[in-house]
Amino acid sequence: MKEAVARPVAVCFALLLLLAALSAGATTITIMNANVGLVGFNDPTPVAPVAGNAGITLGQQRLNVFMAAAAYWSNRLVSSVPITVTAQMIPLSCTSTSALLGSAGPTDFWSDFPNAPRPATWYPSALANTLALSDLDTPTPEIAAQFNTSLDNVPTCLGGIHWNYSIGGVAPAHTLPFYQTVLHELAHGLGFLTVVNLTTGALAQGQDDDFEIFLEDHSTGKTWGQMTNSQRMTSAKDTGDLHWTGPHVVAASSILSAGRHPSGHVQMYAPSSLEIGSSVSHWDTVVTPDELLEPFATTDAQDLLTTHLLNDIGWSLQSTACVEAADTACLQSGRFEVKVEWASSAANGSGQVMIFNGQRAENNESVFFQFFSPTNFEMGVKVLNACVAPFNKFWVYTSGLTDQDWTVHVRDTTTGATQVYSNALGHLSSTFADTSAFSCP
Amino acid sequence: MNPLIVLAFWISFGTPGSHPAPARNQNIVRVCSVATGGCQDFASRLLEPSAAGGQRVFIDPETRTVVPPTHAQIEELSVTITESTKRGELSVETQRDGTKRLKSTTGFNVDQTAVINKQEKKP
Repeated sequence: MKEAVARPVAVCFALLLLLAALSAGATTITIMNANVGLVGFNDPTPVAPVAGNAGITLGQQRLNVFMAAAAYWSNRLVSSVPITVTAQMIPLSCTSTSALLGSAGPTDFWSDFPNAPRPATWYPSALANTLALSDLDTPTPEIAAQFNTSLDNVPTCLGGIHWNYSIGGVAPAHTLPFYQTVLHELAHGLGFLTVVNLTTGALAQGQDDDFEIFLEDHSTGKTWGQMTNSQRMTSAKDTGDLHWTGPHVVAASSILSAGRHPSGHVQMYAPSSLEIGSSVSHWDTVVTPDELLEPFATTDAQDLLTTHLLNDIGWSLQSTACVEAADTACLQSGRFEVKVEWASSAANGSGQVMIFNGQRAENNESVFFQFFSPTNFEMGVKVLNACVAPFNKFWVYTSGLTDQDWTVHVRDTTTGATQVYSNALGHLSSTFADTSAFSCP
Repeated sequence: MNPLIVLAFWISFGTPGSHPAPARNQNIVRVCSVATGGCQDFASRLLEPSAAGGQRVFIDPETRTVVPPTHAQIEELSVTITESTKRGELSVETQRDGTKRLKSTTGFNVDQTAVINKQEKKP
């Protein structure tokens, strides 16, 4: 018995040492699970797997969602300094008609730190660390988040509406999408918010913040930094005229069909009646296609601008170009990056683009992959341009001659959208066609 | 550290083989536990799904599904989820090198609240 216990301890210790050596050169987001005991993220209640989430306990499913949301941002933003999110799921207030779902945001704001791009300007902790190339306060996490377990545990809470823990799926009736909620809230924690007092229009302690400096009121042509407190108060309620002017958003905004000024500026949420927490710190609801950081959830919201806004406020983005490599194919003139991860019962790795007579088995639309041997075809992917009426989509097809576990990641380098397709170990691959995979143009 | 707790933590992550350890220079999601003090790393690329979403949710009272509301519908839908912020007392801490830290007695969190609308259905 003693040996049986000691072995996993030794494995854990070795793993921790290994992990410490792995962290260089990549963005790491650490989820600090603050739940203690068999509650929250550690809740052992058995549950059935849901779409995109194979967790078989309630706690595991919750944690899987948090991990997926953290992965989303770590795959887009560059930070040599790890970003720590302290997270817990606990009972919060809830009645049959009202519930505090959760709470998240930056722990602090910083200014005039080493390498600060702009003096006398507040930056949220995670971004300030990234720009300073060091953790300005190591013991304190950069983002704090907590969400309400009562939706799962108290039958009367919110009339029985509960969290849905699917990842990448659509929340069914009578549920709230936890993944979308966490993804959205982490964006606020990373800096998608202003600390201007919207009730008074006053800057925080008299200083600009890195979000507010890109706001402009089109009716006056003034930026928020140029306004008086009174003018900012008015601008926060100037529906349709409150604009984001950051250059990266402007460069990307041509993809919008609504919510965009001819100059490329994009409308921010400014209802005529001030909504503290929603006003200003979200995209306007008229923005089309629906955007991730709009104040209303929609089932088809995309991140076409939000990552670019984070770029505007100071985050560097991960390289978006598709770079051809042994394990990477670039289809449709390089717009779509295709990678494959595989796993057998004994090993795992990245799928390799096959070589036929010295040439990559890849053209503008299709690619073949091998897992174990250069001559052993395992699976293939094709991306077709169906950007004509009535289809108006890029289509993705996958198929294989294998029963190994594989996961295909197709990334649209233009929009940042990603689609993932999988085959389970022991299941002979079947052909799959996704005719709504990616938006045009 | 209690070895049994470590064991429980280890088991709680299910089958590590389904998430290969990340290679060098990959983006990472690290999951740590206050309870156990242990951490485990996962390659971000393998965790990310394909969809994203917004925040305030409206649920249609008829279908009980999430829908994008029009302004007119907002008042008629059954659940409204709003975000709010509390702004406590702000203070600035200045460090020796000139770095300033803005703190709030309430933090800078964005709170989310869901409310079931009690409005009568219009004829």
